[in-house]
Amino acid sequence: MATIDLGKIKQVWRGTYNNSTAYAVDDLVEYTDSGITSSYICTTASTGNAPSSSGTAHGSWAYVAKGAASFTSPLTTRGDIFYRDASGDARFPKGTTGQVLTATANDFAWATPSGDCAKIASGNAGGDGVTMVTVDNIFTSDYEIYKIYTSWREDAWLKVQLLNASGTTLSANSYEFSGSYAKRNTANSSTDYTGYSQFGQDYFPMHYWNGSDTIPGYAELTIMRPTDSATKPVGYVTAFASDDTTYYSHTHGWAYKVATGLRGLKFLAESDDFHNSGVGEFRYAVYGFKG
Amino acid sequence: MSKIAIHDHSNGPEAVTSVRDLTSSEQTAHNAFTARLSGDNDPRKKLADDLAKKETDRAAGIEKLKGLGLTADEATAVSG
Repeated sequence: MATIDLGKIKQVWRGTYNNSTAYAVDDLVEYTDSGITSSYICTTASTGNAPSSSGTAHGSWAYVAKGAASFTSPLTTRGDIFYRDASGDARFPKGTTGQVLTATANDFAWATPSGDCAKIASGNAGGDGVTMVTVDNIFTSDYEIYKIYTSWREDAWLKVQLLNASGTTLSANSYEFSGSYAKRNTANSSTDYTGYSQFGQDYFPMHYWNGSDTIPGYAELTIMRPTDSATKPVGYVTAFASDDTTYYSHTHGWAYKVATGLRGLKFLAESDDFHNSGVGEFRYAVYGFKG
Repeated sequence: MSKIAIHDHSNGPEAVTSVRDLTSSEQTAHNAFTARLSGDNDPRKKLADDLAKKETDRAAGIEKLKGLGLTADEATAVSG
């Protein structure tokens, strides 16, 4: 009686591919090729022929379900941005506070905002019980006008020295300033208006009178073109200070009598009066404006 | 020793901050700086003294004007 070989009447799962197993047509196996696991069906009886190599199926096998490479994130740090660079997935680290994302020729980059007005710097004392606070590398030729704001909760007055383009403190007796003030004394309800001036000093004041522990001395300093080394640095201060009995509103202009470019400022207390918070809290902010 | 805080804004609004002790020469300079501006050397003291003298002179002037027969209001108005 004749025998008819019908072959397999259904596919047979053979598990993970084994190089020494003889596979028959319609056998199904699992095999990992180049890190990608797929399932295969045997199309021609085969022994010792891996189902695929480098993503290409062997002639004895065909893919049933082709796997995909597992995803490995390139991100490592909080704030990272996921993007594609010239070669593939990549990590773009977060910028610094205040920076904005800008497009470049092929990718993008962090940049300090460069509109007509930009925040250049802000901060506090930087420590507790500090006598001097230097705010360095704030002036560039990118902006023509700079505004520097300070607030200090201390029964003292705030002095300033300039830093030249090399970062050296200008402490020669070449500062001059003159101004005027309105003084209101709540004790006797009197108001005085008069002026003040000093020459040949090694500082200029931000607020010429004492603030207090509960009423900060406030000051706004304006400097134009501080990086211009061909001109003598000049500026203008408007300020308010009160010891809670006498209120001083005052303005003064100042000049440094030697032409020099600037890059920063140094604020000086008489002793360790600058603090990050509480009594003695000192804060500053710097903004630049284009001309 | 006093301390100085240095805020470096080379990289933008957020500073890289370091705090260190003043060097001995910095401390000496700062002590001299403070001495020049404190106590009797405080440049604001002359302003205060001038204002106090002005008020004293004004009060004396009012009394003299009153001695000449002006009322207190008249003497105060004349004295400015």
